[in-house]
Amino acid sequence: MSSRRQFLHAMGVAGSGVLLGRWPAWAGGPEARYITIMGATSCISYVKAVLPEWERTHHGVKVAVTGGGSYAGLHALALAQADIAMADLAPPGSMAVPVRRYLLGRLPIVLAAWPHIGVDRLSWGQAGALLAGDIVNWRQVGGADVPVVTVSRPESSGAREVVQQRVLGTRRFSPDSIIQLSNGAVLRTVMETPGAVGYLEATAPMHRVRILSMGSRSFSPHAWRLWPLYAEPSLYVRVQAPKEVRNLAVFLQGRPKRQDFGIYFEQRPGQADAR
Amino acid sequence: MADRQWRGARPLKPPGQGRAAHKILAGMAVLAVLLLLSVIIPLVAQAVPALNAAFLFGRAPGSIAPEAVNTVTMVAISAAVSFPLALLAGLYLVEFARPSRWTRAFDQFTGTVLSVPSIVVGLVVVDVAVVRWHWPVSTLTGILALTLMNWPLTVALVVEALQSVPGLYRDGSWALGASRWQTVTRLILPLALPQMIEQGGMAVARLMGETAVLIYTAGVNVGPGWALGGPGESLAVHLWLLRTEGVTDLASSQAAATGVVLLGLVFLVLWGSRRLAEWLQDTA
Amino acid sequence: MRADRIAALVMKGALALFIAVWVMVAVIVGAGAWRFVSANGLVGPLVSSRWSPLAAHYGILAFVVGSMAVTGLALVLAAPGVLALSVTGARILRGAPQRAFIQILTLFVAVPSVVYGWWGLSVAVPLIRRLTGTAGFGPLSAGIVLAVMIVPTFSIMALQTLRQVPSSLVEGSLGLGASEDQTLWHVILPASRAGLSQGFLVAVGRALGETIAVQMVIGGQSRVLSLLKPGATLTTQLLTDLALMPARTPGHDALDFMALWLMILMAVLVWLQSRVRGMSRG
Repeated sequence: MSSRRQFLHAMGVAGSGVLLGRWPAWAGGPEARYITIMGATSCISYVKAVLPEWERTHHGVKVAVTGGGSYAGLHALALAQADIAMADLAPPGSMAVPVRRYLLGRLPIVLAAWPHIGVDRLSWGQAGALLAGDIVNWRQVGGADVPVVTVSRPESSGAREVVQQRVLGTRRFSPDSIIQLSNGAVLRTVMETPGAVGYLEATAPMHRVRILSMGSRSFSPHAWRLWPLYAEPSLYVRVQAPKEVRNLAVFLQGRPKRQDFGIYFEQRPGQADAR
Repeated sequence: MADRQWRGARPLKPPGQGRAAHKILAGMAVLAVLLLLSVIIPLVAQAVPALNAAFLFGRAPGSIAPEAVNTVTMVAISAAVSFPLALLAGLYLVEFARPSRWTRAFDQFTGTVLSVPSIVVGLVVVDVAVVRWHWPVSTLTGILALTLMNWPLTVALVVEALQSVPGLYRDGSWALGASRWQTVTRLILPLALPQMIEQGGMAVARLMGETAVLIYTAGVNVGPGWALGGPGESLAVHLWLLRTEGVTDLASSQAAATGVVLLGLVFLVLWGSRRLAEWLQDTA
Repeated sequence: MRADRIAALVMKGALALFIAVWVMVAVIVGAGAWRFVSANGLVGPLVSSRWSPLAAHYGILAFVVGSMAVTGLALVLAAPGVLALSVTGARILRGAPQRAFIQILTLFVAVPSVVYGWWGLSVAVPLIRRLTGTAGFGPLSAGIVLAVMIVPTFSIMALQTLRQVPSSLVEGSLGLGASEDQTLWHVILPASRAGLSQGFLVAVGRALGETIAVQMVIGGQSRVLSLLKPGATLTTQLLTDLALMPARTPGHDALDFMALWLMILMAVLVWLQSRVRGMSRG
């Protein structure tokens, strides 16, 4: 057999492998029916925490959870790569697939700063000017003489979108911002970098950073209704999704436990005692 | 005293002169070694409070046992898949193919794919396996990515080891009437094996530290038990994640401890492969 | 012989599969890059630094420049260390200390890059912050981390080259009355030029392809060259946007385009290496 023929055969094998590959049955796992949940990293911990409860009553269904951000989740949903999208954003107008939305509640977003900046409260204008890079030293807002370092997230983050619309308006994020890939990474950087300020989804414990008051409001988990800066994380499901997928979305929407993960919601009468 | 006289007797080069640059370079080398040690020693120092049995072997959340298991299994399976494939390809190139334009072009080809950045491999594996094949982010997908990364490296090291065996051995074997296959299996492979194993240890060590390619293929969390279809965070990914976003009081020391365990595994592999290579060389 | 033929066939198959799989990888990346170029042009993205994939701005200039700057910086910073370590290991130490020295360097080659990144976050970033008053995240920190990372690799290759200089050259030089220093600068180093270039190119490849250690300290902004403010490289931006732009979205093709550039740069490096090898033989 000539080398060229053999090489062409190998190309055929590799090419058809790429085109026809499937999850191998011997590997276990997704040979059963499986559901992929993808999107906003802010919802992952909550979903992971309550998932086992649902899986107990739905044998043989495997659920995989991955992040990627709101935008990626919605896109994956449109392309049928995911069954449920977690998103802080509304689906972009370009999305042709009809979807159904399951609102989870409110996810407060706070401005967090390095603890020793000497400032507790910012006006909305100051907050915008800080994040846009117009204020370069905390002295300018009445704090210590420390240069401002802004910390931000990549463009596809839902939290970034909320802050852009509500705080910055038409201004853009400072081009000197340090970009971190996740909420936790922003928190860690703000904690460690003198003069740092960034925005956080209020899901994690935040005791090592200073949470700034905005205007006349201070953030408190008990008075979440009064806090003006928030995302509305939701689950999106294709309208033609199988019954199990819709069932899972309804289940995830109904667990009060999400309050422990920073997603607050109105407790309607009767819902409070649903475990 | 005698030594001094002898050195003084050397013409044109009085003692202590003409080696100034060597002394400066030696001083700089000491500094460079100290700098390199400054990478490892603080890591070990910070790790001490977190290094306990519960952290290393426990079953509770926060223990790195699942990450260690994931790392070892993924690396072992990838190496076990890629090494035989690479051995066959390398044997053909060195022992069977006639040197030609094509074999030289192949050197260039292997060199290029060898240096493809791991994140590019990650990109392709995500495209093909996760998106096109609908494989979940899992241990098996991670194994696929690691195998793809390790394959060219292994081909290169097999070729190098085989080429280090002098051609005269082959000529002698053929002159005695042995076939190519007999020559390879009875003469060349035993001679080249120690070097392959030592270099292979280096390749395995590199796989263990691989991070970028695994983040989106094997994932950043661990499942309740090891499974090919389950999530497969490795030690290196865990270290990256803990160091960039771990915010609890323990996170720093846990990150350092994870790093120490990873380094320990890497050095163990290097040491083990070297000892194995030495032992093979002695018995051969 | 029959065994030979069967063995050759199996081995040829393994080799063909290896080539086919990697050609397939190139085809997948190339196809995405082709779609990207036909939609956005080839030159436009290369001369723009506006990277805003959701708004369909795909300027990658900042990443290309960032990759080159970080790599160049790392090499400059690493050079003195490499010279010192390789000369010490090859020309000053002898016997058992020399063997131990080489083994220690080998261990550092095997230290995972994420550990160097950890060092960068814990040491390099705070140091730069204190020295310059900036946040500390940026190409300068990334260059320092990469420099520390490539020193062992580069030093070992340089060390082996220096050891291979024929002793006749060295003895001849010393015998003619040259001092050790003169011998080093004028005989040993010029004689190892080819091997040193080889090590240099390997170091360039390692620095250019590194992702995680750089991502941890560079800051992640699309900005053309400021050493102290956050920047990005081709590899770190791929890591940032890989999950955000899944396959079959328009932005994804831009990632393939960046990946193709990395592969082309690597191919050029390998080609240069083969030229250097030819130089040393001829």
